[in-house]
Amino acid sequence: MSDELKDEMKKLKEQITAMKDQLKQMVDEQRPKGRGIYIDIPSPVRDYVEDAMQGVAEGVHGELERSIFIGPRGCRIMRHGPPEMEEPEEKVSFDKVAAVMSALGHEHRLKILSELMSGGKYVNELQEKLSEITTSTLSSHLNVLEEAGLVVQEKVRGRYLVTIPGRTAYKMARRVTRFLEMRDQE
Amino acid sequence: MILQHYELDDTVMRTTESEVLLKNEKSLVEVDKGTLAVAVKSEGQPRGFVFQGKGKLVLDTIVETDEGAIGEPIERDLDKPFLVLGYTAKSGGSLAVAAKEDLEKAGYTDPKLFLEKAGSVLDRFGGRGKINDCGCSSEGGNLVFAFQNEMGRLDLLVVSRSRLVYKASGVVFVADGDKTILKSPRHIALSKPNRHITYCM
Repeated sequence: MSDELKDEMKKLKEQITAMKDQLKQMVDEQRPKGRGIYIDIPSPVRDYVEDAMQGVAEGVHGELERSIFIGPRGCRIMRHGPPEMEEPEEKVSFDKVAAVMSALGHEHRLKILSELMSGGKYVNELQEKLSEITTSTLSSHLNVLEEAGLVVQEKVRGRYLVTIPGRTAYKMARRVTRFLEMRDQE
Repeated sequence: MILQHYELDDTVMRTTESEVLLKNEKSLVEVDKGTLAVAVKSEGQPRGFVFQGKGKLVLDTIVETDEGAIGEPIERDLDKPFLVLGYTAKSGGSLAVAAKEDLEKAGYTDPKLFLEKAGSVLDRFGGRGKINDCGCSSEGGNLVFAFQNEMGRLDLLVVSRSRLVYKASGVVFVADGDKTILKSPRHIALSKPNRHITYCM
């Protein structure tokens, strides 16, 4: 290799190194202070992200408007679950629905469920708590609740326990009533 | 593993009054007066009985959770021969030798026929002479029941003080004080104070 060519290559190397340093300096100037990785996002992507974020913000705003109910007794946040698939009509057994609603449809039975919500109870304990109900009526109401599957009786000890459907039905009845009460107060 | 040589006694007995074989918070096993019984022995000592007559099994296979109760009680008539180990006449049973009329009431013309049936229950449980020692004795408070079900299989109930395990077709129920586990065709539920897991199928 001739000396001329060697000098030429040396100059080129120096130029490349100088360009590298210059480029590094430019990047360092644009990089925000602080730790982390800096990625230069091209402007079309930035616009897209901004649009998307605006969409999310609008969605959150709309959701909050639907979820927050301001009534006379203050502000109440109602939680929305994921959208539920509507059950096909033919799968709903209205007889069973009516039986459950019918079992719930008595003040005494609701009081019994309310007492059982805090734990299993013997008939005499229920009788003590619900003195306005006679023993025979109490027994009859318990039978109705048991047939509807809202309570179950232990056969050895004899305690009555509220079942998962019973607890759910009682909570649902209370929630609907509370909602209607709040609407009436508006 | 200790293998005990279990065998049936030759004498067919009958209960002279109704007997409660097991009673605790979650289970009850009782037989009526006049139920046929034959002793199960090991090393010449009574270890249990095979009963046949009118009786009932009640079991509260229910798990209490914060979301509500899961499961339902089991109530079964015991009209087929069943085995109980750990229950002996010393435990308070009232037995007398069965008369011909007692056997006839249960549908047997000959005591040998009852002994054959009782032997088949013992054989199916583990085989005479092959049963692993279950530590069952009237003093230990451990009881093992083997009931024949509709499908001809044996449902097992093991009770040891506050612990109870019931294994039947499609159902497993375990209770230890206030800790309970239920596996049924419809549910799996585990519960202990302030904690529970439920799964509905």
